[in-house]
Amino acid sequence: MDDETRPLLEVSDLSVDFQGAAGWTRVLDGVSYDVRAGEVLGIVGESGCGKTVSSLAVMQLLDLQGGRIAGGDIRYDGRSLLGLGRRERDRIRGAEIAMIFQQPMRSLNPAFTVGHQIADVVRHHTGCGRRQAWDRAVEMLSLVHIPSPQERARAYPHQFSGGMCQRVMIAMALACSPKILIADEPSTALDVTVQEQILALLRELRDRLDLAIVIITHDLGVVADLADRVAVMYAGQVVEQAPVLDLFADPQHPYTAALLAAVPTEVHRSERFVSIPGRVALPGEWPAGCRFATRCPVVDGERCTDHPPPVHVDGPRSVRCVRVGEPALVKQGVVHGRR
Amino acid sequence: MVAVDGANPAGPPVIAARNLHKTFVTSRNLVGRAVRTVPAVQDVSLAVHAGRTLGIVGESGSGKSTVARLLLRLIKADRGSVSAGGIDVSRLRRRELRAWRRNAQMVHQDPFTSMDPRMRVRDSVAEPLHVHEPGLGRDEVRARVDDLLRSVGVDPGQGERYPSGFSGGQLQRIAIARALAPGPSVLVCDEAVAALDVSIRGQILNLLRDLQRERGIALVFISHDLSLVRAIAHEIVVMYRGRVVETGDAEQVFAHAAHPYTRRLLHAIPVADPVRQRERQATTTEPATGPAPVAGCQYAPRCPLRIDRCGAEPPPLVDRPDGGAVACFVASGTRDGTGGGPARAGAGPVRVEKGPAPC
Repeated sequence: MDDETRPLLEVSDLSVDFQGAAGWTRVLDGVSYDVRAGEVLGIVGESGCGKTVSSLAVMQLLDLQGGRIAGGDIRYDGRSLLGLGRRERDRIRGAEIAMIFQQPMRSLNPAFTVGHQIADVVRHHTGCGRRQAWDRAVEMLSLVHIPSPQERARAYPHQFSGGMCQRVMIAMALACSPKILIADEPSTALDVTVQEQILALLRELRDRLDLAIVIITHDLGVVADLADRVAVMYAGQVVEQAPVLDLFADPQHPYTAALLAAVPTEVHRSERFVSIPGRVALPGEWPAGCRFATRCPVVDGERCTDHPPPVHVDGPRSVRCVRVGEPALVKQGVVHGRR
Repeated sequence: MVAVDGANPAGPPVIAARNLHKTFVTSRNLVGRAVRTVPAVQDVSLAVHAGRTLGIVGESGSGKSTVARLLLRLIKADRGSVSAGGIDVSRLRRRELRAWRRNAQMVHQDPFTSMDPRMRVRDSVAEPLHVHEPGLGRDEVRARVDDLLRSVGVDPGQGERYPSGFSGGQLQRIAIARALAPGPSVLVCDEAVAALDVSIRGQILNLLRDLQRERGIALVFISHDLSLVRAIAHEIVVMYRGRVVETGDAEQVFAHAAHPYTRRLLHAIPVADPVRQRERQATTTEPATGPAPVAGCQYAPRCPLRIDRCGAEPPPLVDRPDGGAVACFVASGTRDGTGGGPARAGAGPVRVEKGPAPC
């Protein structure tokens, strides 16, 4: 494969366990996805589905949280990240793959100026001098469109609004020119008008820097805005993966279809809100068969409940459902739920 | 009393606020004099009717939660009044206030923090009954709690469990049961579904709507999410930095938003449709930035329609022909101080237009 098509990041069959009261519990189960340069992968799912855990695994931050990789592989630029020495791991984390989080305010140290904090990262990774690192920090602040970056670099986090803090976080994450940015709910804590600007900034940076972005979100609007491809997660697994237009136009997994239908876009106030009955099965209580079976509107008895559903792969699309492609689903209005 | 969805409100509002003002002191000097203040709510008037839902929308810092707390008299307004059923709530004394409180209850954003983790949920639901109906016997309380739990779709048998034994959606149902326990006529929901997963949110919204239909409760639904408010509210109040910038029938505001801020909000919400969303992106413009004028319209620095007058005086809420009202010199056609609709002197309660009631 040439460089154009080879994924920068490949997560394959990744399983993660967390230490709980009753020993190790599987929270991520055979997750695979990849992302290329200049591409945005959206990982969408509800709370507890494992979307954040998979990115913590990529960032090698699991051990801090009491988790461990139980199987599978994570490859960056063709090389496995598992079993790397500490030094090499630290180099890749930040210089090659960077991450931003939901709460920008909490991610910054209130006691230091933002310029200082960005310069710190630069010096840690490149070993350059103070002066140079500071210049880089100012340059990064201007890249993320913070007005008068020279002066603002000397300001403290509390002097920034939430949206501006997230810009600072993005500046810090990109200061060492990583090739991959993992953004975990980057706009969830922000106001919608600020979210709009952060999403526009991420799109711009993707184009200017040929950045690969993995965006983790529960908001299908954000996915529709930014993602080129989407992985839908449910109870620790990827249940559907598809190019964004295909996914929204023609969801194949009953869960994806239900999730799309639950977005109150055109709901009239006299209509019922669409919701999915029941709740997500938590780690440790996953059934043997399909994990969505208890909530699925088209569950087909033992076929669904007794065996794990196979993954159907069709070109760029994959679906984890035993009934995929059955005409009955379309007839019942489960898939193509949005028309 | 059953109010049919879409019907025009009959009779006086269940709760009405007039010209509410609230300023918070953020720092004091040595002798306790306020040196820094934040005007959180300025000249806000609104009214909620039985069986109707009023949506309050705004971003963080818009004052929407402060309005909720003022409505329930959890905090006292600096100026203005709240009236409910002919009573001026702002003048009630402590004991009267306590008795009045059963009329207006609140549902908070996160049930895991709004419910006591060390109390069985049954006891949490019973607590308002102990306060407001101290004469009830043990068995009566038990029967009432069972009914309340059933009415929100929770098996009464689960009442012996603690909050940690429930999912967010289930626990929010229980929080709603607790709010309903004293038999309120107004329920204020402050971001009540914001913490819930998309697949669960619909269940809670349907429940709120069913309860409203059964009991004729007035709902105040506070949210930053305009699409949610559109789906549940009859009337909308849009707030920006403590002031009401636009009000009106929910569908009208969505279809013909007049205030530039409302339009901006509507545009900023990404739609869950990649084809449409990508078309919308192209028209996104970066707003101008700068400090808000002390005297004029708070939105002026970001506003594409800004005229000189906006920096000098705050635009009053002016009635629109379709029944809503907008606080914008340009949108209301009162640029030069003449023409347009009549300026509302201090703005009375939000009126509901006579437009076609979609049903």
